[in-house]
Order: sequence, then structure tokens, then C-alpha cells
Amino acid sequence: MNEWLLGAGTALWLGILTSISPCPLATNIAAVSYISRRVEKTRLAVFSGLLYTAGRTLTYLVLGVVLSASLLAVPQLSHFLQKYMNMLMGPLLIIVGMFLLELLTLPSGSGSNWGQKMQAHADKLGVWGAGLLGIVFALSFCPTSAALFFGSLLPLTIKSGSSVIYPGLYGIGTALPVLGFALVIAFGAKGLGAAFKRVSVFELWARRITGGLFIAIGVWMSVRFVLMA
Amino acid sequence: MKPKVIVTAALLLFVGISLAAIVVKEMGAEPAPAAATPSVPDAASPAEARTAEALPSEAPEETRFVVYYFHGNLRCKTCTNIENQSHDAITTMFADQLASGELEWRLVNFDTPEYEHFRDDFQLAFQSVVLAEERGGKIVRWENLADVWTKILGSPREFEEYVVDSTVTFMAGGA
Repeated sequence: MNEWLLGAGTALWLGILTSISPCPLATNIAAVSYISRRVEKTRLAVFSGLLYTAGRTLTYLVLGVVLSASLLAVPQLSHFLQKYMNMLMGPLLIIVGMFLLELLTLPSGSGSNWGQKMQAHADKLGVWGAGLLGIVFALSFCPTSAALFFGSLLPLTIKSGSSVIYPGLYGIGTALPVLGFALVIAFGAKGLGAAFKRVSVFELWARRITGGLFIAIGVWMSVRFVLMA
Repeated sequence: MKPKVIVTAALLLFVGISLAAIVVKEMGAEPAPAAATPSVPDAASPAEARTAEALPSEAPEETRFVVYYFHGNLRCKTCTNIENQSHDAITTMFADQLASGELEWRLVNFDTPEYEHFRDDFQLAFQSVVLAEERGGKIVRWENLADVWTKILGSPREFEEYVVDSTVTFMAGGA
């Protein structure tokens, strides 16, 4: 039991180490910005943060189960994810950033209610998008996260036979620092906005900053992983 | 034309160019023949060394040890720290063995087509430090120092001790 608990603590710690290493800094900034952008509705920021954590956890959990069962070869999967997810991440972040800045919008229908309905769907998708963001960011392995997941966590998981809980704890660990920062920023911005009676203005700027960051990080990732690689 | 339209068009163009570049790179990437390197035994059956690969004609018959640092095209900060600290530890603590040729430091980019085979040979899932024993141009034994990724997050002294102790043990045949 003690050994299992030690392993669980190690899995969680490996996740935190992954998150605070410099390698996934760009995607962490994007995630913090995305989660904390709902200044006016901090309940949504908390929900987005939990969905982001759930997305990451689910991804590592599935990978842990699949790899523990030897259904896929570790080196091949690791190189595939490191190469292609990072390549595709740049264009994806730019497109998401363009939607956040409303440079791209969903098509409005001919009916008067249709546009409002689409907007409501888009808002809802924005919250659920945090979960999707967690899944995509978890899959975009950089060298450090690949080493800590495939090299440290996976052997621990296979040795202990805990192919669900350990990868799950690792996923929670990778999201904890991001979640903490995002909620501090969201609540801090709301407090500041309330003090100045400008919460809606703060929200508008939070969304613009998030969109701008997504585009800047997307351009940087495209240059680094596609055009200059 | 409105600035918003120009920015949107420019960003969409950039996304298009990036996606096209990915497609072009993948279509242009043809597997290169493996470079002449020592053959490597399967991790599961170290006794059965592969002999299919071409060996350097000048391959010496005597035993020698190699410290490989495998990296990819992407060089992250932690990866560079691991490479530098491993190199410093080896060159400082094994100067005599390096001078005599008993030990060698090799830097290999496993994203280079001719060295991609090392990923399968050593089961490399990420940038790694690998110790190998070569005999007659064949790798007869190897060990991946996977803990470098957690040791690098501690003190440089702890990292150096791990690399040096592992190398001493491996060279003594105790790995």
C-alpha cells in the first residue's frame, strides 16, 4: 500500500514537473489565457479549468492503458506525436485565435433567431473547448514531456500495474499549475474590474489578449516546427 | 480594404503556407539508407546481435565503450542541459579512457534519415543518453540512462554522480 501511494505521489509529481518545465511553456500560456478569459463569469473559468484538467487526464489515461497493454509501440508513438502534433498545433492555434478575435465568425443564418442560437452554441463550445484544448495540448509532446511520460511514468505504471490511476494522476499534475495560475488571474481580474466597475471591459480585453496570444504562439510554433525545422 | 480583412487574409495565407509546407515535407521525406554504424543487439535478446548492417571496415576488434547522446531536430533547453552536463561529466571523469580510445563520446541526431534506425535499435522514445559496449564493431550490450530526465531537475552534482556511476558500473560489466 505504501509503495502504491509512493508511486501515486511520484506520478502526480512527474505531471507537475512536466508542466513547470520550460518546454511546454507556450501551450501553458495559451491554456492559462484561455481558461482565465471569462472574467465576468468566474464560475465558467472554474468549469473551463476543470474541463481542461479532465481533457489532459483523459488523454494520458487512454495512452497509459493502450501502451500498458502493448497495443502500440512506445518509440514510434512518441516520435509520431512529437513530430506531427507540434507541426499541426501552430495552424490550429492561429485558427482558434482568429475565432476568439472574431476575425473569423460562424456563418449567420437568414432567420433572426438563428444567429443568436449559433452564438449561444459558440459560447457553449468555448467552455467545452477547454476540454478539447486539454486533449490536444496533452497530445503535443515536447522532448521533456515525452521523456517524463514515456520514460518515467510509463515504466512506473507498467511495474505497478496501475495503468489507470497513475496516468490519471500524472494528467492532473500537468494541469494543476495551469489551473492555479488561470484561476488566480480570473478572480484577480474580476476583483480589479469590479473595483473599477469595468468588468465587461476587462472581459473584452481578456478575450482579445487570449486571441492575440493564441495567434502569436501559433505563428511561433509554425515557424519553429514547420518552416524552420 | 479594411485592416481586419487584411489581417484575416494574411493569417489564413500563413496557415495555408504552413499546412502546405507540412505536406511538402512529408512527401519529400524519403527514407535514407542506414549509415555505417555498429550493429545493435535486440533489447529483448542481447545475445543475438544483428549482423545485417554494414560495419566500418576499420572497426577495431577490441572492446570499447561509447556514450551516445541522441537528440532530434528540436533542441529544448532541458535537452541541451542534459547533453552539456553529460558531456562535461564524461570528459572530466574519463579523460584517460577517452584519450586511449577505450571510451568515446558520440553525438547523434536521430531525426537525420541515416540515423533514424537508432530509434529502433535502442528503442528510443525521446532524447537519450545511451551507454554501449562495442566488440569487433558490434554493439553487444547497451543501457539507456533514462533517469537523466529526472536527475537533471536536481543538482548538477547529483546528475554528474548518476552519469559517472552508471558509466563506471557499465564499463565494469555490471549493468
